[in-house]
Amino acid sequence: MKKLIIKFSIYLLISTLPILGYSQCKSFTKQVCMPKLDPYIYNGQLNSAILNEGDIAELVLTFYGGQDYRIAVCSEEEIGNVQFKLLDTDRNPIFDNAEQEYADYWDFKCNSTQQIIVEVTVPESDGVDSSIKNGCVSILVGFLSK
Amino acid sequence: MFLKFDNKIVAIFAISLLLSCGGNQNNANNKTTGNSPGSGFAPENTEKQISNVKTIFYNIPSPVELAELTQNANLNYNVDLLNSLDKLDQYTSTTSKAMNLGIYGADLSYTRLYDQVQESINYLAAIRKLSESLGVPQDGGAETISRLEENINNKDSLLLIITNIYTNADLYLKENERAGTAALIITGGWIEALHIATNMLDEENPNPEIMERIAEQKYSVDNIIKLLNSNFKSKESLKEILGFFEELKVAFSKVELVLDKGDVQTDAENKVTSINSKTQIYVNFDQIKEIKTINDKLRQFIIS
Repeated sequence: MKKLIIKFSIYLLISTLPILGYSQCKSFTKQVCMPKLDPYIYNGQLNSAILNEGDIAELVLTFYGGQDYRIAVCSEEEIGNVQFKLLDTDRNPIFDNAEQEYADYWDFKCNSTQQIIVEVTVPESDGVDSSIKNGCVSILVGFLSK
Repeated sequence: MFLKFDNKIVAIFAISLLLSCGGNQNNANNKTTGNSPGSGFAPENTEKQISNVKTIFYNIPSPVELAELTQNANLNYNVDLLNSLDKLDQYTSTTSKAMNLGIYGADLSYTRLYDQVQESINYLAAIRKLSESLGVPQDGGAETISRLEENINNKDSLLLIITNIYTNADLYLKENERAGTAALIITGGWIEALHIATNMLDEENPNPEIMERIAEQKYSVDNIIKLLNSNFKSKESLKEILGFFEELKVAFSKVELVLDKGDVQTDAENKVTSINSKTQIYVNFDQIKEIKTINDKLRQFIIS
């Protein structure tokens, strides 16, 4: 009976690991990423995932003319400097944080309404370590109340 | 006997792992089969073989953001535009609770803009009730209401309270693998914000700024359809709602948004980039009326 309980506990632990990982990602976002939006107002939509090195995440959103926005991209330390780019719908670059010392947030002023793509890339490590690194990445959007 | 039991455990592990790695709702356009983002698992590789995965998120403007966009129009407050609080107890399914939570949120953003204190308190209480019945834990309880009452003349405090409620709901639902419910809340908010904007317009003398703001929602319709499709594997429960959105897509396709790209200036010191493009908006009142008619039907379907 004791063995059965132990095995069932292990089963429960393993089967809930994915949810725990995802949940930890949300906690990380809340504690580390959201404060970076201040004084901008968070748009209330959480975009976060656990990504492997080399993975790409994209956020499609609209910038409204005359509105000021802040994009914050946060990642756990173990996956290194995450690159984020702003692209227009033809995928022309508007901004690249790699040119700004991998800043984890940036403000945008848009004088007319347009669709924007935020492309986030997790760098591939070139170390000798054969295991694939992964970690939580979040993309948050804030706007300024007038 | 022991070996037999172990095999069962292994089989359960395998099934459970398979199920748990297949549940991501935002994952699209996988280049190869890799681990599922959001699953919290990386495959055990003996050799480093990176299989890149693309995850796509769609954001749509929140009711607060949309209310901000129309606040300069100097139009009169009209309580008849809002969804009646008497209907609150009618919403029993998860879909109707979530969508009406979004609708009441847009109504609250509207009452806030027009300094309607008592209405704001009433809508806030309804939002908390719906949110609670969706299983979202409420911070503060009566404390939030009294905080609002203490700050009745402070629009910023109310804005903070509204933002906190929706942020907590979104976080909680996504933490608990209920991103679909979170998507319905934001969709409901968008529908109500569009309802308010289209019904604000005076047929005799439509405000061109509001008309343009409505036309700009063309982008959001596409994003909402993609958001809902990516969050609901079974479309049956949303068949009618998605049908209305397809109708809206057709109506919005008659509106033309032409982007003239301009220069982009980055101020590294202040961490600001200015995007100096210009969007030409071609929209007429008949097109807005068609959008209004479809959206009002969609809203009626949700609130009744």
